[in-house]
Amino acid sequence: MSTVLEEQEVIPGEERWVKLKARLLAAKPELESERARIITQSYKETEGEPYVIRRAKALRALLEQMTVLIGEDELIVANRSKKPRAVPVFPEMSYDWIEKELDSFETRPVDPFITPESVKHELREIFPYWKGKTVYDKIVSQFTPFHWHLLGSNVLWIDNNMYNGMGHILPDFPKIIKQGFKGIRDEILNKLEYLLINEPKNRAKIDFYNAALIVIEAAVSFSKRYSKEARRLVSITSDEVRKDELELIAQICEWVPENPARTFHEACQSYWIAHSICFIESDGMSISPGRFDQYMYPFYEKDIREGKLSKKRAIELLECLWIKFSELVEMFQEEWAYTASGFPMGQNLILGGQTPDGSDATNELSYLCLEVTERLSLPQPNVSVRLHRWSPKEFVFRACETSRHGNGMPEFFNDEIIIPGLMNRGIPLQDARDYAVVGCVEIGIPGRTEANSNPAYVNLAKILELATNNGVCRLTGEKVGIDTGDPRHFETFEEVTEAYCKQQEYFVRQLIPLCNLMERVHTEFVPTPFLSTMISDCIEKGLDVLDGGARFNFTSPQGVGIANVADSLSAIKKMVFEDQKVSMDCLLQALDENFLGHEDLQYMLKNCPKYGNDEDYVDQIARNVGRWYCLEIEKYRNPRGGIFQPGLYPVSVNVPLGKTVGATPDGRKAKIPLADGVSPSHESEKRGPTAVFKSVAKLDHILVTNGTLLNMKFHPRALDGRNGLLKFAALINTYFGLGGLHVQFNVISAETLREAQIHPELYRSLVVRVAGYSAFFTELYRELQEDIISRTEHGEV
Amino acid sequence: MKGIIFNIQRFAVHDGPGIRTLVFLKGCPLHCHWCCNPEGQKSEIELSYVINHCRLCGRCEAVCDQGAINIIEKRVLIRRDLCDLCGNCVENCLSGALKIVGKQVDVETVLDEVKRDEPFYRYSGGGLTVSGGEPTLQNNFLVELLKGAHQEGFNTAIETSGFCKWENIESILNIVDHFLFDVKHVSDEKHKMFTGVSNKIVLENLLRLIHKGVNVIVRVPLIPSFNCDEDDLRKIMSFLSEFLKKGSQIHLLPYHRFGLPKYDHIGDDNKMVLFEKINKSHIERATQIVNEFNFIANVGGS
Ligand code: SF4
Ligand code: SF4
Repeated sequence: MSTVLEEQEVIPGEERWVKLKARLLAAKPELESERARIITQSYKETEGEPYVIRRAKALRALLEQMTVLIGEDELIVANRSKKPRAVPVFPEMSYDWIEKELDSFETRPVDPFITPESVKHELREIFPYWKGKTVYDKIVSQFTPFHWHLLGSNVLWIDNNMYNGMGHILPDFPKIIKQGFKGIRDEILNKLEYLLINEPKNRAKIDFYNAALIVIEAAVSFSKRYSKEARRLVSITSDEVRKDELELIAQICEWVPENPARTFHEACQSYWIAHSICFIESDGMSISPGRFDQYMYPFYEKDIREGKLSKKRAIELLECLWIKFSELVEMFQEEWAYTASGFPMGQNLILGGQTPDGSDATNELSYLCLEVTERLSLPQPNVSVRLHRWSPKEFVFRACETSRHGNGMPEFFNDEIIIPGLMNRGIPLQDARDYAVVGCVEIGIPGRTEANSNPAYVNLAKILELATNNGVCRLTGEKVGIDTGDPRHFETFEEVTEAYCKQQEYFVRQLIPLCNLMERVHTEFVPTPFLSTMISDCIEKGLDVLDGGARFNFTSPQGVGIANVADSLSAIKKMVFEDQKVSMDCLLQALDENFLGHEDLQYMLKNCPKYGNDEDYVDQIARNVGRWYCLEIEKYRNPRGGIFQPGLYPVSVNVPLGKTVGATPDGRKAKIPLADGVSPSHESEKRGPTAVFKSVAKLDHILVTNGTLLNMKFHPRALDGRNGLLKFAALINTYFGLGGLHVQFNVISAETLREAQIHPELYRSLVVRVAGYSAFFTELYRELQEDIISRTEHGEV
Repeated sequence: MKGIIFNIQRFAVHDGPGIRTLVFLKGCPLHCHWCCNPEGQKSEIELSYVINHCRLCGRCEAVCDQGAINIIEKRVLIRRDLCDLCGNCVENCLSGALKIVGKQVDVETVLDEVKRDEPFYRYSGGGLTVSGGEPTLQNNFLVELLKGAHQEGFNTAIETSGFCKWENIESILNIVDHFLFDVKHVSDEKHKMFTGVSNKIVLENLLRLIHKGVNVIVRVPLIPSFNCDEDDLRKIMSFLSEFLKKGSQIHLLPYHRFGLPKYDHIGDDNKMVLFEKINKSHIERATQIVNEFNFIANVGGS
């Protein structure tokens, strides 16, 4: 069998990736109905069977019937939809919103989708079957009026778990690549045999194993369909070079993922099939490749050593794969789309860091991945790097160079904070050193963690509003929180923070059963047997990953608006209690009236110490606000035997959450976006990026095991040249030395972004950092564009 | 020891190695027509008014005992002849439109601020750069400041016009790691015309400095119609080539107009002289000439 293709002379501008990227950019997001049709048919046929079996059979039906498509010039194949950037429908999760918005998808201001009439028609026929059967329906059928009241408070914001699969996980891809599904099949058969002899009545486990066997077979035959399709194309292709490529694809898809990969190309293909099927099984986002450079390197190294692979071809394969990542897009209902605009898929691919035994993990592939990321400049995969104390300088520089290139990648993560943080959660050192990132900034151990990383957001700014208004919403006048006393009678600043903590405690306590309720619905109705074959110890325990099969289990809600709360508390402390320049009564009145007629006061509030300027006065408050949130969250347990853990990142939810919050004591007017992640509020940082880094590093990042997110924006001029690069690296190293967990950059001038707003057609491929993900700038909705432009830019002149 | 400073800027990345903190000392004997820090020229404190931040609230007018402030035609007018710089108006201007430029501070206070970015210096090899104005004008303060920074182990640099007594430079020789030294023109006549002073002392000081074997980086502001044509630049470079080692860095600082609004802010009567805008070909040509003389051109500093 020939495993190498002849090297072809390539004319610059006609490289394979150029053609693939052009095709990708030309593809507009589109809605399709194929998946919905197939799964509906399957569900109808399996009524009455256990859900895990039904899920397995449904996936089998999909993998047997979905259109298989091999695009021109592709070397890595497998699709989740009929066309690149098309979105399949998952009616088993939720459909009401799709039905409602079918006619407006094309025209909505945020993340529009092409919606052909035939698709609308078919979906309208399919949906009635799902009434009462979806995850959403099952969840809300258990909701009491109190639950609705709670969600109406705008303190708790729930999207992902209610409408979509849980996703957010790092499957054990290296296991599939190395052992092939054959190996896993043998493992399951062993367990099953033992079970049938020793625990024949353990129906649930037996069903789980049977389901796993079904999906494994289906995955293997899915790949073989691609093999067949490749052969079909061989017979009708006249181009001799392409014929060879297709023949190779046919051979590879015949062999993997069933068998262990033998070459780098096979490993890439095996990975991509497994990855794609995860996204076909469930619409959970952010299923992430994890430590790609680590598990792919042995294949790369061996092929290179044996002369089977040239570096050029390896790069070409990576480019083909990178394009595939960007073909996957996610659709949300209009309201949620504002929270995660730009069709993010959250496929986080992380490079460098340490090996489980604590040595440096950087290898040649780490560099090649950066090179490809920089050249293709696409929103996906979401590339990250891990840095530790002894990361090679060269690697840090290379990563900075890529970041400076402007598309917001890679994100930077700090081993020295994350590893102890994970250990603080009871994860053994060797596992902790092997961490990777899910989606934006969420942390997990590949193949071992189910952290339900994005179940809910807690609007901290709203909590402060309730604490300063005795539980009453400032915008609606409705009582949504608890009594914490009339703030006009507070005599000390501590009483304010006490009220804040009490409101927070109340809402977090309400959030826990809500999250657990949602999780149980997922466990019961949409188990993920395919994903479970790739998570330890699901097979060992005979448990689905959603049912506690994973070794490490967490549920991880995010706090949003920490800067606004810190700035507000600082202003109250200074103005009301210390300097006594304003009474609480006047302050609250000004807030109620959104500062209309209170402009002087608004300015005084704005002039109080603000987080982000390296001022201990307020930074200490910010640290407390963060800690309070973390310590409150981590008190609770989830149904999978794990605990709740906190994150402080916003995706882009800081914009819509801000809309629900009245004027705040930091001088912010009602409905203005909240600060994003752990970044300072816009306009409040006055002392430049080093001060920002120092302020943010004062937070207790070790506690925030679901990730903190810091956005920094630099003008390209500030970091240009070799010296600029050294300074860039020094900034990151210093921030990490001070105790920061994560940072990401937009190195792009405001002028360029303005240009792109005026001439979107010229900037179709401009990628920017939004939150923990990047997106095509021109595809973001206007307000988010403005939000990004207004983030303070350092070093303009 | 006290001095007057008008700004401290953290994360300066173009004025010496690494990430630095720039401290601007107030007062300058030169009056360069292109100056982009006019608020650094006078030695005394000044009142600055930024109309863009003004919300015309009238609070300043109400608190000025000297009657120096009038709001006329949607802007604050300051009678600088009446103003005694008491600062009442500034305290009451909540939007920050009014500010006192220049602050008397002691060395420790400045050092405390400089120390804040110590971790960044450590990773980047950066430190303190003293700029101005002309920093040597407050020589005692400058010496103490640099000494303090050196004691902390920070890298130190100074940005100077070179227009001062040699003794002043001599007094800081051992506590400055990098001299960023302006050479604006070799023609004394032109130098006088555009900066108000002769270049004789400047060039003399430069030569003595170079002879001392200390680290000097020459900075040439590129000002169209002043020193930007080939002839002028060649003369400068050929002058330098007699003293400077081959391979030395020369910083070329292209003319810009970002300082323009500041003239209005401090009500300076010598308005900024507007030069033709600099363009890419200016810069490319200048770079080329510098390279011809076997120096390394660095546009914008580093
Ligand atoms: S106090 Fe400030 S904002 Fe108000 S009028 Fe005077 S300068 Fe303008
Ligand atoms: S500084 Fe004093 S005297 Fe001068 S304008 Fe302001 S209030 Fe009037």
